[in-house]
Amino acid sequence: MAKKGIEVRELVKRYSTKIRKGFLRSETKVIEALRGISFDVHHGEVVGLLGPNGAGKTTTIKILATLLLPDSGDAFIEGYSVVKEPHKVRECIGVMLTVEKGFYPMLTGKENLEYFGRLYGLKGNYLKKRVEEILDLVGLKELGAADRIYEEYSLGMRARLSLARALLPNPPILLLDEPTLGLDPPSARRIRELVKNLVRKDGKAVLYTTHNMFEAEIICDRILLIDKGVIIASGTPAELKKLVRGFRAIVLKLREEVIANKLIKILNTSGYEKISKIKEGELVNVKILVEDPERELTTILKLATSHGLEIDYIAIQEPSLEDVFIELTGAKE
Amino acid sequence: MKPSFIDLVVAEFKNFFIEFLRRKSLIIALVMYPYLLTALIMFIGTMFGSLEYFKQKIPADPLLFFLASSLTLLISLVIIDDIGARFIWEERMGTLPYLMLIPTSTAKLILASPIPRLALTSCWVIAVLAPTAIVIKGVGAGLAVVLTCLIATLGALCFVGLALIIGGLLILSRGEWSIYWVIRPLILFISGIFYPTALMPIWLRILSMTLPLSYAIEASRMLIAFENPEMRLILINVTLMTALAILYTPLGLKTYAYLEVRTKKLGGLRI
Repeated sequence: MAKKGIEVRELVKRYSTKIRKGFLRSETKVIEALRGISFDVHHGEVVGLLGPNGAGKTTTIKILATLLLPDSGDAFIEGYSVVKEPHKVRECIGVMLTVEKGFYPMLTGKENLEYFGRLYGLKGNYLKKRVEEILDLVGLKELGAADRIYEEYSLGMRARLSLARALLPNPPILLLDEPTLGLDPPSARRIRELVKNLVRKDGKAVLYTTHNMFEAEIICDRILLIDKGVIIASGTPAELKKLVRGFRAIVLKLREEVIANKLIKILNTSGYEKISKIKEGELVNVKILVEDPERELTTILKLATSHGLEIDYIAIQEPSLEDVFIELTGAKE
Repeated sequence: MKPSFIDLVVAEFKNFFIEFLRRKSLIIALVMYPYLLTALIMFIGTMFGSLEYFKQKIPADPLLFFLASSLTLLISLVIIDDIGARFIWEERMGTLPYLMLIPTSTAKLILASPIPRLALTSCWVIAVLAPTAIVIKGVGAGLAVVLTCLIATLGALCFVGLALIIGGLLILSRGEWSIYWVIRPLILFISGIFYPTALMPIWLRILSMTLPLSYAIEASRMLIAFENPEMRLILINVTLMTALAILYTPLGLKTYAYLEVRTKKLGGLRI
C-alpha cells in the first residue's frame, strides 16, 4: 500500500452561531460541524468526501489547509500536524477553495500565478518556466487566456487558474473543495481529467469534496460519505453500491413537480419508503428502490393511473451512488 | 519552499506596479492627492480655530504647517491602509485565505506589502511638495520637505506594530469592517494631523503621546513650518517615535499571531 499523505484522527469542530430572535435579541447556538471523523488518504489515490451542504466537507478541507483549528483531534499531512506544524503543512499542500474568485482582477492569469509563485518562494527562470508549464497543463494557454486579465475570465477559466495555483509549487497533496461547482460540463470534465492524471502520473494524494454523485463515481478511487459531521460509510464506489444490494430502482419521469409530489404521497401511503425526487431539466425524476422492480412496477403504475397521474417515461436501473447516499442519509431530495 | 522577506517584497513590488500602471484612476489619484489633501487638512484645521488664533498660539506659518501635516498624512496613510485595510480588500477579492496558505507567517507578508506604495508615495510627495515649498519659502524649505518626507516615512514604518494589531482585530471581527473606518480617522485626529495636539485637551494629548505618528507629525512640522527649527527637539521626537516602534512592532507581531490563531479557532475566516 502507498504511503499515507493525509491522516485524519478524531477531528471535532463546533461553531457558535447567533440565531436572531428579533431586532436586537439573539440566541447563541452551537453547531457540531465535525463529530470525531477519522480517515486516511494514500498517495496515488483520489478520495472523495461526499455529502450534502452543511455536512462538514468544507470544514474538513479548511482544517487540513490550516485555515481553521479543530476543537479536538488532529490531522497529519505528510506526517506534519495541522495544529502544531502549520507552516510545514502549508509547504506540502495545494488548495482550491472557491472557483469564482481568489485572484487579483487587474492582473493577467500569468501575472497572478507569478505573484503567488513568488509567495511560495519560486523565483527567476524557474518561476517563469513553471508558470508556463502549469498554464499549458490546465489548458489556459490553449484558450489564449494566459495574458488576459482575470476580470475577463469565464468561470471555467477561473477554475483552471485556481487549479493551476494549487499545482504551482508542485505539492504532494491536493485539497480540492468542490472544484467543478457551477462549471459547464466540458470545463468540469477537463478539471476531472487533470486531477486523475496528476494522481496517476505524479502519485499525488487528493482529497476531493463534492456533492455531485456522478462526479464522485467517476473520479474517486474511494468515497467517504459524510453527513452531519459524521462519516456514515466509506469504500470504493462499487463497495458502496453493495450497501443497497438486492435493490433496483424504478425511475419515473413526470412533467410537473406537483404531480411528482402527489405520486410520492400516494406511494408513501401504499408502503413504499425508499423514494427520492430529482429535477432533471423540465422533468422531475421519482426514483423508487425496490427488491423486485418487474413485479412492483405494475402496482406502481396502477396506483398512478387510478389517481389520474400521467407518467412520461419509465425505466428500471441498477442502484447508483446516489441511491446509496439517499438510503444512508435519509435525504429525499 | 519557504519565501524570504525579500521574495515577498519583490512579489509585492511587481503586483503593486502592474496594478498601478493598469488602473488610470490610481495614477490620477496619486497626482491629485497631495493637493486635495492639503486643502482638506487646511479646511478641517480652520474648523477647529481661525488662522489668526492659530498664529497667536503657534509660532509657525499656517500654510506650511498644514502642508507638513498633509505630507506626513499621505505617507502614514500608506501604512495604515496597506496593513490595516489590506485584510478588507483581500477578503473581498477572495484572496485572503490563499495569502494565509503561503508557507510563511502572514504577518511577514503583511509587513512586506506596504513597501512598494510607501516608496512610490514618498518619492511622489517630494516631487510634488518640494517645489511648492521652494516657491513659498525658498530652497531651504525645499530641503526641509525632503527631510520631512524621510521623517514621515520613518514615522509610517514606526506605525507598523499598531497597524498589525488593527489588521488582526479586523479579521477577528468576522467582517465587521466598518470598525476600520472609525479607527482610521480617530487615529489621525488624535495624532494631531488636523490641528496641533498642543491645543487639545490634556487627556487627548496623553493619548496622542502613545502614537508614533504624533511624533512624526510634530517633527515634520518643526522642520518645515517653524522659522528656526530646534534640531534637538526634532531629534527628541524622532527618538521617541523610534522607541515606541521598538515597543510596538514585536507587540504587534505577537498580537497579530494571537488574533490569527483566535480567528482560526472561532472559524471567523471568510472564504
